[in-house]
Amino acid sequence: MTNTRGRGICGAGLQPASRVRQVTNLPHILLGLLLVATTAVADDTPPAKGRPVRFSGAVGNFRATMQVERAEVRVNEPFLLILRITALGPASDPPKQPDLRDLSNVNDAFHIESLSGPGGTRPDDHTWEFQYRLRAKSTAVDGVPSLPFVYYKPASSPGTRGAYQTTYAPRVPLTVKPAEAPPVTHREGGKPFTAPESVYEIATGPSVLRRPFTWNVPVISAGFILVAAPLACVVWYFVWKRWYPDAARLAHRQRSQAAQQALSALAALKKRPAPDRPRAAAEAVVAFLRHRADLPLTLPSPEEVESHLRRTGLTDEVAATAARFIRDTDAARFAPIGDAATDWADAGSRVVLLVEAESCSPSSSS
Amino acid sequence: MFAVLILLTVVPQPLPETEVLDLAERTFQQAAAEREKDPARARELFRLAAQRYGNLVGRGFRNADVYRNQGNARLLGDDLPDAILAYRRGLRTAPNDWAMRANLAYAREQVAYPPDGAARPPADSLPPWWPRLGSAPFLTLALLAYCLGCVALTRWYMTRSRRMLLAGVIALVAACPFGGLWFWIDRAEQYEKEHPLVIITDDGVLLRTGNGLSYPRRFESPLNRGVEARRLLERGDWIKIELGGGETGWVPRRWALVDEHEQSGKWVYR
Repeated sequence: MTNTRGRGICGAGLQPASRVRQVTNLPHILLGLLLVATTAVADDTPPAKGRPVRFSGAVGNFRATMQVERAEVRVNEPFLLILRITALGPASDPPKQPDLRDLSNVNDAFHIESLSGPGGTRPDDHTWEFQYRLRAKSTAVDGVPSLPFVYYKPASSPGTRGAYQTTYAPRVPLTVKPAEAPPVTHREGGKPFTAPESVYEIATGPSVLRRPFTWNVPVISAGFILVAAPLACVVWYFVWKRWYPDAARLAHRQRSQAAQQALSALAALKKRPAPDRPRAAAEAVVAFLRHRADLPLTLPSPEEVESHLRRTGLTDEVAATAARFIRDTDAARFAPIGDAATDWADAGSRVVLLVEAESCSPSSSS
Repeated sequence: MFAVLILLTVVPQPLPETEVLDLAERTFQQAAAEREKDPARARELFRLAAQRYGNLVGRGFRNADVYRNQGNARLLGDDLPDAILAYRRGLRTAPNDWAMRANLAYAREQVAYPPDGAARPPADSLPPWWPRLGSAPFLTLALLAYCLGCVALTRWYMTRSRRMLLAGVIALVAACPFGGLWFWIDRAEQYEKEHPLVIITDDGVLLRTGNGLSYPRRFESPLNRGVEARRLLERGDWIKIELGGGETGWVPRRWALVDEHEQSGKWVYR
């Protein structure tokens, strides 16, 4: 290919003048590209002038559809409406939830409640779903009207301008039947009161302004008491043992079975008639001494008891006390008038406990 | 200091509780007086009185009298769910308040339960005259019997008295049923705290099998306002509830009144 002057244009042989033209055209090319770019960016922003009132905020190219949960409902029975907005290409701004209450034809026919947030739910990257709970107001409603969706469609090519577009979600037919049950509760303000008189009675007076008393036992406190109570009893026992050592020792001695039997028998003396008590007390003590100190089976005299106990190792005092008890009981048994004042049970118990304390055999017999 | 004084004079101070109570009582009585000639106006006044009693509840006066008054005002103001909630809270405070039990029974009669009876609250197993006690008295009795048993047994060990032995054994044995009752009632109370009371606030709320509108309904009949349940779980804007008959399902959070228990041990209304 040659120019009119016969000079070759392509390949070798390009003249320096053409090269200069190419170099000087470069800034223009760059400026043109810059203008196109700015134009393209400017076309994505929805202009404020001429913006429709129901503009959803979406920028891109969209399609709107609707579906209902079921096609047959009753008056005032709730059902679900899903408005689905699908982007047909790249979307630079997502749609916001349309307020159906702004549409008079929808608001007149249904009670409307929005269930999803402003951004709706995203089943996929190109779809937004907005959910509503509708309740038909009357049987005259025969469908959900076609819902408009306003968006801004950017310019398709550089140098052109975008425009606000409205697409419509097709109408969904609906069959509305009369409500089956009567209204469940009456909310009309003018309905007369039917409550019983007890509902009209209120508590009055300063007692209404009392703070509630709460009876609460923390579990930690209960656990503390469970542990502390037996510990406290243990401490109490040792303190008592220290303050009353004789009583402690005596209590220890009382574990001897023979002594227990004798003490039980002596304790039961009060159930016996007074004349029988000296004999029963003597029998109980003698039975104990037979078991504890190997006293002979025959009824011993006081002197025999005393000498035997000395032989077994008991102290003179204890032996004498035991002998004196036997002598006193003999005297009371055979006395013309019985001594009702003497506490034979107490006296016999003292003898038993003294012998236990002085007993040569430390372990209790069982 | 001067600025504080200015603020104190300019910024309205809350009314003292005695005045709030007085206002609530007068509003209630005014509403009761107008109920025959202007029921709509009377209902508004009852609702206003209920708000004022609610103000006292918010200030910490959570006793049976306030709850009963609030419940009555709510019920007469046609706020059935809030009335039931107030009565339930009052009975938690005073379980043996017969008047409140009667009013709660009347409120429940206004609830349109589903025909199959699944949503009805469970019938009270105890007779109405049986005293309802919390867990604390039984725990106190159990601990008391336990301590007496420990003391008696220790005394028996000291003196070897059979009476003390018998007394100790009886006391410890008596501690067991008290302890058992405490444990049983305390478990119920803990369950109530973990699963607070839920009351449906609107008619036609569908109980679904899952936490979303795409899940099918559990029953054909919807739940209406005043239906009582227990919250089992909460997920997003949905809560899983258990009805009186044991059936479970999910309802939107916005249609449920949940009576929650604060960490501090106080019940709040959300």
